[in-house]
Amino acid sequence: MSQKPVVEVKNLKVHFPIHGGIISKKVGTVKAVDGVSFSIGRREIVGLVGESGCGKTTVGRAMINILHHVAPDVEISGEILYHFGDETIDFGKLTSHEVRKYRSRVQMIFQDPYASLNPRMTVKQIVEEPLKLHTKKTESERRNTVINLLEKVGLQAVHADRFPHEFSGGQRQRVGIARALATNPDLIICDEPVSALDVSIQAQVINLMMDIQKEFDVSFLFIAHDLSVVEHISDQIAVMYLGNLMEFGPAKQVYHHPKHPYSTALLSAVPIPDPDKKNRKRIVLEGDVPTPINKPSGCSFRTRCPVVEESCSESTPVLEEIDLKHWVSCPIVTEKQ
Amino acid sequence: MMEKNQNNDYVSVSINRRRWLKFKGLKRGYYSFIALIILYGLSFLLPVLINSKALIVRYEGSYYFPAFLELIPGVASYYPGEKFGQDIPGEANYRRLKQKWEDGSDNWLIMPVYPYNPYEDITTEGNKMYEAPSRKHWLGTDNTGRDVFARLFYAFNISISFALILTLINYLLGITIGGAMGYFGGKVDLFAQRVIEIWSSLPMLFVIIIMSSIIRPSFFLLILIYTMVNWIFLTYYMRAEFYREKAKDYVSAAISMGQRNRTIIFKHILPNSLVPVITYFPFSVVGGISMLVGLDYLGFGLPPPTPSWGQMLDVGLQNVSKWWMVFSPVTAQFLTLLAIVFIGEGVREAFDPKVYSRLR
Ligand SMILES: Nc1ncnc2c1ncn2[C@@H]1O[C@H](COP(=O)(O)OP(=O)(O)O)[C@@H](O)[C@H]1O
Ligand SMILES: [Mg+2]
Repeated sequence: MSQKPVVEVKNLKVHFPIHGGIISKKVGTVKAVDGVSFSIGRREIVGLVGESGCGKTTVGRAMINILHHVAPDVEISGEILYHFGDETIDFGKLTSHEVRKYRSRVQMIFQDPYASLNPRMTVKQIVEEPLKLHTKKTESERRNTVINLLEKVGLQAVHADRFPHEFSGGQRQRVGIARALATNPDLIICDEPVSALDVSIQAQVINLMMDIQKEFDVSFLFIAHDLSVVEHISDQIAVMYLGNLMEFGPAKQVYHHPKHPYSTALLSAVPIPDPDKKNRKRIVLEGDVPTPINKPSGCSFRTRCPVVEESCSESTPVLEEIDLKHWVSCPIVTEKQ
Repeated sequence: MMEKNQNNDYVSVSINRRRWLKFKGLKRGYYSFIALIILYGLSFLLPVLINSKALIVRYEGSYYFPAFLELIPGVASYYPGEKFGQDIPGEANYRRLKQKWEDGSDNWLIMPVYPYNPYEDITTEGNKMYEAPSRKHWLGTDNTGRDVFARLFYAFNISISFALILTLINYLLGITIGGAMGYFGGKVDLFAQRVIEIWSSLPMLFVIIIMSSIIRPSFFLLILIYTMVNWIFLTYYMRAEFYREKAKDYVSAAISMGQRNRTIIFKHILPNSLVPVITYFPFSVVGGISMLVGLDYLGFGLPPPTPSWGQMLDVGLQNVSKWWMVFSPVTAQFLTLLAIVFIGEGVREAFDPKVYSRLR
């Protein structure tokens, strides 16, 4: 097994142009992702957290190269390098025909389990679709594989011929997981896979994903806005704010000793289950998240930062390694070290 | 929802099957549907049901099937009167022949159930103008002596066929163009939208009337002219549906597993975006029928002597005192449109995701 990471994201920028007027002139840009770099190692789970609207989903969708589909005029720059075996692949540099061949290697589990399954297909047809595309299995082999996968994700063979509307949200999400596993991918991107589920179901689904990660030997990018969930499941945590990474490092480090003022604030909002440990000061962020159309100059967090200084508006901070494998994008924090 | 199969196991029911079952449960729409299907199916057999030609003629040892020959397009069903020993010019008059052979002749013939055709007027011996309904002419005759009952049924076939073909072509065009606009978006969409805006701002009714007064329109020319106007309407629906569906995650999932564009469009998006156009289908047929009636009434429709409700209404209203000439086309039209509206209502309700949405 090579020691190369599964994927390296280098300075990824995703800008959505805003059009107006009858001839659809460009009147602005939504800088949904504005220079994000990180990498995911083999068999590693990387958690990506941040408030809603900060660009997490966009990062995930850029990584599976489906943004053009809904927004044909999106501007994407930077590199997303996948290392499949000995091959190094950047979807953005391939023709759409070539991309299709590699698509099976990266799969996504979607946020909304009600929209992510075609309502007209049975569970078997849904899970079987990638098998039909990427394997030469016969009908009966495919059926066996489907039932196998369903059992792996905690469903039963009888569920195979049912339609999505006959399932609960948690069960649908399991079907989505089975579909993602069917191609035997190297990386699975989970976009807030449990945020639409009941709290009682969330834990089950998360535990299932952890089991699957071990069994199938795959890497995960786990997107969430709930830090406690991410800490539980991840090896690394990336904290995102308004299209930029603020902090990236080992899960325990980021969770227990956050360095960036934004991570600290985000963490202080996490409810603490043990009342004896309730010594953490709660930091309430002032003001609203600025829009990604009109981002503040310099550090995008400076308008709400509790430790803001004059210099913050001047230059855009970059991620700097302040500990082993622990990067922070805040010059003030870096200086103090 | 579950349902029992042959082995008495419960199996899941697809959305479409569920909708069909629900539609079947709505009696008014379902029975209208069955009745119209049967009537429309039968109306293709009209030449052997309502016709002045005999079904079978046996004349001097040989058999002839003039009415059946009329069922086959392109085959001549014409026999001159002399052929059967009749001393008249032109085609044989089978009703006369029947009377003649009734008393002890070796020759015989069988007439259709209703032995008049929709085209024979006073030039055929024995027909009179403005005959009131009787056992002979069930709904009387019109200003040229044509049988109203026969014309009514032939017009039924033409009206429904016209509306169905018109609607199908419109749907094909509207779904393809609207779907492409929604799926590909961007420049394709922008360009198509502008073309449609310009196209739809043409005063189409006038264009049609002007065109039909220059060239006498035929059945297919009329359909062509109408299609030019009507497909636009459907693109609005389809474009919006495709836009909405393609943004859903199940489509993203299909793309991210490497599925082809074609499969995504036809297998994933299309079946999920047809609900509004299917529920609209019966009403589109109603629109097609009414349109043909309107144009025929104004005299810009199908060329005479094609049987048509609009033309019958027109001459009926010129002779209001002959009540059967007004009553017949109005009733036929009313019942047909009512049945289709009932079907439409049933379809709409069967496709409605809400359980209790009908006004009661
Ligand atoms: N197709 C699009 N066109 C324009 N703006 C978009 C599009 N998709 C996302 N955005 C914008 O990008 C920003 C990031 O969105 P998203 O990635 O969904 O955030 P998150 O997943 O973190 O909640 C938001 O401001 C959103 O409005
Ligand atoms: Mg999101």
